Amino acid sequence: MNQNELLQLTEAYCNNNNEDSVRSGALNHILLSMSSKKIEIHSLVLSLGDYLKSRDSILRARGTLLLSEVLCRLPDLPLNQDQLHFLSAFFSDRLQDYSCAAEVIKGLTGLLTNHTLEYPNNQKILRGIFTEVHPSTLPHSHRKMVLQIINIMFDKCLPEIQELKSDFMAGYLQFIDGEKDPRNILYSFQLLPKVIKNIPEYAKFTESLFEILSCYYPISFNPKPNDPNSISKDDLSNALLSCFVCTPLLAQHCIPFLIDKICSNLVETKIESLHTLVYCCKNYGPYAITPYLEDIWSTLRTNILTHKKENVIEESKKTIFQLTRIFTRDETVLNSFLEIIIKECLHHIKSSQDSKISIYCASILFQTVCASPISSKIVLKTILPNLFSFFKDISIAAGGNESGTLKINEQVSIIGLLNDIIKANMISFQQQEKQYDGENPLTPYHDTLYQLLSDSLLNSSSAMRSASIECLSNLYISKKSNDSFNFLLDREKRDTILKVLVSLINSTDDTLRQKSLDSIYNIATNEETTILNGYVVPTLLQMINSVSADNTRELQYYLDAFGKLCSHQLLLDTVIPQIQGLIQHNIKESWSTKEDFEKSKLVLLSISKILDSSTNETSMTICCQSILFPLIKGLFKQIIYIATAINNQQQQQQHLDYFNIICTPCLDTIRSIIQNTSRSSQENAITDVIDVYLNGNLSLLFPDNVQEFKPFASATPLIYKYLIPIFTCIISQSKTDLSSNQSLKQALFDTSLDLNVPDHISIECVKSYASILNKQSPNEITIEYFKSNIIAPILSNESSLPLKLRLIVLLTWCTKALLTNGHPINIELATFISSLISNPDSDISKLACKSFYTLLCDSDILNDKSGSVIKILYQQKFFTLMFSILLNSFKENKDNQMLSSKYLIAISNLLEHVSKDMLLGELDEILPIVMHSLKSFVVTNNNNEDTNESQQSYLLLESSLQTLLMLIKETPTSFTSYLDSLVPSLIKLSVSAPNQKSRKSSLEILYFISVSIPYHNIYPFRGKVIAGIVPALDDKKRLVRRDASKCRNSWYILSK
Amino acid sequence: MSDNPNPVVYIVDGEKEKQNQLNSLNNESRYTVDEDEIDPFDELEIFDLVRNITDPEHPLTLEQLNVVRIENITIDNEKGTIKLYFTPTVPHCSMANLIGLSIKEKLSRSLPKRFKVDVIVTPGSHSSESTVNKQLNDKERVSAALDKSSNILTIVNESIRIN
Repeated sequence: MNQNELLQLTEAYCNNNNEDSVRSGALNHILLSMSSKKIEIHSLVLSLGDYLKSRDSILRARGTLLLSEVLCRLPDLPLNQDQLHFLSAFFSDRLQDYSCAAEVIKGLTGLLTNHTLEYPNNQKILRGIFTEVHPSTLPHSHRKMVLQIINIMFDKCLPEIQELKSDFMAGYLQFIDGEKDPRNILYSFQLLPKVIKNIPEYAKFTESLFEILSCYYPISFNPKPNDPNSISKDDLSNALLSCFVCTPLLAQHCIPFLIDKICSNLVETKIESLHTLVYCCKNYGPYAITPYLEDIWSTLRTNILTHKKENVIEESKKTIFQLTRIFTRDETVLNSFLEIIIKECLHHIKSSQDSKISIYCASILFQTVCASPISSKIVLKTILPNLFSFFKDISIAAGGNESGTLKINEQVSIIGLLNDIIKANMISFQQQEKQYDGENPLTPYHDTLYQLLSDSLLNSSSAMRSASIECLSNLYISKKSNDSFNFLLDREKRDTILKVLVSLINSTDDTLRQKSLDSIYNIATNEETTILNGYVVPTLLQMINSVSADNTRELQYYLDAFGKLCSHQLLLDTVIPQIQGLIQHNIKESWSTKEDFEKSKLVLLSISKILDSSTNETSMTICCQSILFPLIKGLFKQIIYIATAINNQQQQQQHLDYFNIICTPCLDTIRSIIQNTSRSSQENAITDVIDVYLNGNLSLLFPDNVQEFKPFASATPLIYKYLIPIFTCIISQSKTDLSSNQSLKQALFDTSLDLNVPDHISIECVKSYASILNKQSPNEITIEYFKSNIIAPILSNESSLPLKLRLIVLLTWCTKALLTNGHPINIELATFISSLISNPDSDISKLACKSFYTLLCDSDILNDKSGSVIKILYQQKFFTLMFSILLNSFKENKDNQMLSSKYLIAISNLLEHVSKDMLLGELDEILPIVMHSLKSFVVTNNNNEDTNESQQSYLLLESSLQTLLMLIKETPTSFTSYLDSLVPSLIKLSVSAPNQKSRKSSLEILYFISVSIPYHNIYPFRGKVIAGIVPALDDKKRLVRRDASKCRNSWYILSK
Repeated sequence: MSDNPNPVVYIVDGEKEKQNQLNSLNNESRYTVDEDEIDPFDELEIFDLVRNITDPEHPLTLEQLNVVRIENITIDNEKGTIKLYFTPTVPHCSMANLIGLSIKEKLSRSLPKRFKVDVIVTPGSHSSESTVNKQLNDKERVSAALDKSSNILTIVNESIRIN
């Protein structure tokens, strides 16, 4: 390429009148030629000569830009040192040219990125930039380039930059001052730690540096939704934080600044500043913070003692905890920090018990003790002896003084404080063991504490005793070291404590009892089980057995105590034999008195609760082996006794009632055992019960019995059928597929439709049948089976109504079973059920509506515990399909109010169990319906005749209100746009709805609106609601009045 | 600093008798469901309204401090009058006005207009009893105190926040 061509190209590029495409074409041509070495840089500069020297600033800038583009876009351009020197000198010189500044910066970026300049060119460039370029005149992208240049220089020629010393710092700070573009701010924040690390002269500039940084704090930044750089507020905050902490020298500016921010009125700023303070202190180290300890403490104290917002107080307390933990690194600092706190807290505690101040002081001390064993040691050393003597002083002062009660209260709060301290010490000592190898900070004081607390147990005040009990139990479980069971107190003292606590369970004072029970539980979870089994458990069992039958209150209490202890897994394993004993003792053939029966009922009930709360497989397997069959045997004996020994019909019925009552907790117990036992023992148990029930092999339960037992045979007396629920309960929980057992399925199917069998037994069979169906292989189940066996009889005119109802229940549960495992025919079956809603028979249509409740509700079968096949998100899938079907039927029958309201009831039944996320998706469909039904009720609410129609509309109103209540709890904000019509309807309903439940629900909804929808949305309705619900305050029902006053009060004190 | 930094805290369900009585407050049997049966207003219901008001300077309720007691409330449904005596924790308690005001405001928000509510300091329990009573039962002074812009309203609202 000759010089002329090149001149033309440069002309084409630099001429401002040319179009963009022409210019970029020329530039590309030049770049290509240069990369293929057709043009030398030398000739390019020559050809640019005129432009570079031109008096027209635009042309000059264009010329410079061409050179810059070449340097930027050709990274492999071969340049020798002379050329580099020349270019850098040229650019440094050009920096003085104000109009080309941006182009020069671009060229320099290219030059420095792609090439390495020799000493002292870099210095010169940097000086040039700092002295000649004003950051505000550059576009933001070029300001970023300058920062990039500095960054590159740090990487390539650090010593050269370091020679600039203070000049660099001054220039740099000047450059970053006042930056507003988030991208550049982020870059300069990220660069700063590097600068600080490499330029030691920064120390002279800390003040101005901090001034530049602090004006960004706290960062408030709302990123644009489609920002390609995707800078978030957190990015900026984190970068700023790392600037704050890059040198401890900033502490002198930063800490006072943060303290000032913590005093801000804005809660968010307060909390963010507290976090920042912790972060800074952590990085500056304790030494740098020393001068500010007093200030920090007084600020935090003011926050804790005077601030109204709970979260500010909580954060301030956490800050104290964190700071104490940080200061643990330096014991002198820790000492002086704690000294200030202790002194002041102690003062408050001594001068004002019970008041908010002393409670807060106690919680501050709690935090300091929690922080670390070292801090705990320091605090305990001062606080405990002080509290001991203070406590003593009060006791002396209390003797014979009329203000005795007052003094007792002070003592109680001291014991409360001691309790807090012991707990806090436990936290710090037992969690931080690894870094700390000293003794438990509590060690020197445990004797005194024990003495003081056991003395207080003798005090006449029950408040005092109950406080000491709790404190003692915490002292009990304080350990010497983190080894298990290496306690501070010796065995003798521990035994004494346990004895006292157990004896207090007998106390007449309920609070005392509760406290001692809690304390025993607290100990139980930390103590060896042998010690508990040695004294506590036997004593408790003895109490249960010996308590007189008419004293149910006492009995209940002991049982609860026993249950609570058993909720500790390890202990439960060791007391299973005792539980078995209780069961055998309490399932009797007959009871002599009603009280006796009540006692057994309570015992069995609490055993079922104990086992219900335990899901551990090993302990349940033990239960399965030792409890299950004795329990079943007990129930059998009872029925056999009723069937054989009692002839009087009335007496028999009474015994059967007893049996039914006893049976419920027993079934619960059986269910928990079967659900959680190991698979193999479950299979064994199931084989055994099938053997008993279907094969009539009673010898498993009664070895010497040869009697035939066929509960499912229709000829069997009804009374034996009462034993069927035990069987179904076990079968329903089977983890294996039992469908191959045809006779089992047939027996369940027949019994569920047997009209001679009571409803509760029939439903158990239905459920059991459904659970087998659920686990059956999907290929074996066809729609034809249901059509011919269930649907046809429902539709046939020959079936009686009770049979039809039973069939619908059976169909509902079968559908539920297939719905749970995702079988494709479920929707077909459900559609059939929905078609029954329009059935002329009101019983059938009501039951069909109710079915939609059953379909999605939780039950004791078809859940993950019972080993059912559960398809993921089956509820959602079903809801989406079914909801639209019901909705269509509703819309089609809009004119027939009777029918449409039935569909609406079915819909609200369906809604009840749907996950809330799903509801949100359909909210646009659901809300108008609910609102419509509310409104229609408000409008037509004139006829007070008790017709079937009004009954129906009450039902509808009720279910709409329930739906609304549920929705408003979940997604209050989605109601914002409906408030205009919703609030007036609700006000009207709350004063005029015919049944109290509706009035109550309306008021509840109004209450939820007041607490969960933003202030500015609901404020316009405040006056209306307050005035509107006045009549509800005078409602004839107390329940309604209670909600009315709650609601009205809440609207009165709406807050932002 | 508060007037009475160390008030006696009464255990809410101290004596057996009282406990049973108070337990019945939560007893569902008091809340009949039959639509036709009328539940009249009674002392317990009034007590239920004021028991959870908190003392402005302690984290305690009026019930815990024994400021209000069920036996100090009388109600006449026919005449529509309610009389409530409250007992400040100490005779010189400067918060007596504020406590009284809180009680009065809570009741006026929660009861139908047909009742005339008198909130009175228990005779002999406060050093400037008559002044407090006068202030509390002077409609104009009460409404002035609870003016929207007044700080007192904020404190009162804070005290009666818990339902």
